[in-house]
Amino acid sequence: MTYLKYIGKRLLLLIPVIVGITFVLYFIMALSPGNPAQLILGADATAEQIQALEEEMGLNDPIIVQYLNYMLGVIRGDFGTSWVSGYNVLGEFILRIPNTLLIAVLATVGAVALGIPMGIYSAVKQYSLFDYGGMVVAMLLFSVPAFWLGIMCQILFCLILGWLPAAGDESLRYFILPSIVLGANTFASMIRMARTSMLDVIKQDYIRTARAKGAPERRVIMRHGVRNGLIPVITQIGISFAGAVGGAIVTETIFAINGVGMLLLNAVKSRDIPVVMGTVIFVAAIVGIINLVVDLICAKVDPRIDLAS
Amino acid sequence: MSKRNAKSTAPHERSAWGLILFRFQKNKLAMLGVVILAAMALVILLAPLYVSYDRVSALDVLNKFVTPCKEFPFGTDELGRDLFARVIYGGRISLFGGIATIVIAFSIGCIIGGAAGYFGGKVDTVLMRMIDMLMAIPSALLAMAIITALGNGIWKLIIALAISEIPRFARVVRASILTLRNQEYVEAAKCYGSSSLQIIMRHILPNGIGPIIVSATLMLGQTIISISSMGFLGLGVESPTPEWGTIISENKINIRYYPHLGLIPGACIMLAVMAVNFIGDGLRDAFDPRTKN
Repeated sequence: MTYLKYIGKRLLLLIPVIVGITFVLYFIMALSPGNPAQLILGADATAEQIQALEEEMGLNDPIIVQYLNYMLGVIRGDFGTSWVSGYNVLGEFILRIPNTLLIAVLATVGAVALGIPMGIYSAVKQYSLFDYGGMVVAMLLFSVPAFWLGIMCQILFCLILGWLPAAGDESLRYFILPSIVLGANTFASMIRMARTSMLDVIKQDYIRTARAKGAPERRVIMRHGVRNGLIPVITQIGISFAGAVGGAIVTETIFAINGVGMLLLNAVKSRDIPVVMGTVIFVAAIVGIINLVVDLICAKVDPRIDLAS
Repeated sequence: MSKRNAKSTAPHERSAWGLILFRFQKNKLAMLGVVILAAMALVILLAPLYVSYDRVSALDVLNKFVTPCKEFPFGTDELGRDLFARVIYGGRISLFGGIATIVIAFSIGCIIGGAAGYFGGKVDTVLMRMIDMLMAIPSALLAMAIITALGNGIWKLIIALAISEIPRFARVVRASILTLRNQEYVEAAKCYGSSSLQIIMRHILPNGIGPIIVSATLMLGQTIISISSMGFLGLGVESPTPEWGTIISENKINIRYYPHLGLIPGACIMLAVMAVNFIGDGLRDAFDPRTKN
């Protein structure tokens, strides 16, 4: 019951955040130069046509009225239509979000599944060859821009070696390389975080106690060490996932995956404001829910965390 | 023990800042980072002395796809443009644009986080709700949304990225100030009538600046990547303006056959980011030796 209450409270708290962010964005965008009616009708529209459409779209109303109308629509699930394609924003988003979530989830899960054990092992075998190797790999992956890594991997694995398809989103095979590229940064931060966190824990008194009472080394590390060391790492997973959703813009562009990132990039380039607004709102909601899930997992792993407070 | 002798050997006789500097200088990777970054900055700043800006866009169809040689140290691209000139002048945006972004985000983040942390109460609640709001969106998305509104341009890109980074700075500064606000020496300063500004500038900032500088350095690396990523996507800076990301973007299809077109600008980004990260890690260990393992 406390869980349900907590989840409800957190979801309710998401509403003012989204209202606030739409408010700020709407005003910045409304004040930006460029005439939407002109954009929709194209270069050869007459002045009367533009005026008529401006009237119809309510562009002559004060900005605050326009914003309220927009939000009334949002509450009813109507995010407007694209100024460029004329399609429904919600429909466009729903069509593309599975691709984006797929690469973001694959990237994060892969990075976590590989990075955390590597980080823990590095910490347990501190100053070993494995430890130094892991640190160098993490440092390199942390410093390499995803778009560069993406292009280089594409050339090597798709064009030269021909192991994987270079572009598109037809089957799961197409998502392998994009996920690896997108997950590289998360992988690096997982190794580093898990290592640092474990090194901290290993020095604690309760680890010495566990060893002193004769617990096998494996149990000391897995039961006493990992469980305590992982809390900050789990929090980092949530942050990394949000980063992966943002980073998907670059990955989708390189590998021609028709996802939300591509939708947003094209909308930004053509100043298609309803699409930009809609995308940002949806992504903020998704990230908010992911963070909630992460906090719930943290509470599950660490009983000291009290959700009620 | 003579005074001269003590000064040169014993770290416990140094001032707090001297001790931090001492620990930083002993960190080989961090010093390597300083050397790399300083060298890159000098090469970029002094560019007009040895290669004219005209070379950036001068077309030379007879010399296209030249691999690195004596005349063209970095080779040329498909239009015969000198890649050396483009990479060197591109660094102005990629590297110094990154620094400008951090300076802006740092200053505003310090003001917001400082006010929230020091005054607490309603000020804190209002400011932090705003910060939470901005944090709800991945920073790449936020920057793109702001660019939609502002349009393209180097300074507009810098502003967009700075806004998307302010929340993290504000968080770090606030956390740092919250731990110091109730220290005895701050109470003492209040008692003998120091103003809020004096207390913040004189007593709180010098003691809390460590973690803030560390996160600023580590974020500089990510910002250099962000700027070049935006350039790669064609946002903010557009080809033919040279920038490490736009250079890679405009040569994307030819990199397979002429690897220098991708490897050189890519190496510049990696080198700069790695140098900054080394410095950041070194500063973290210098400010807080307990974290060093």
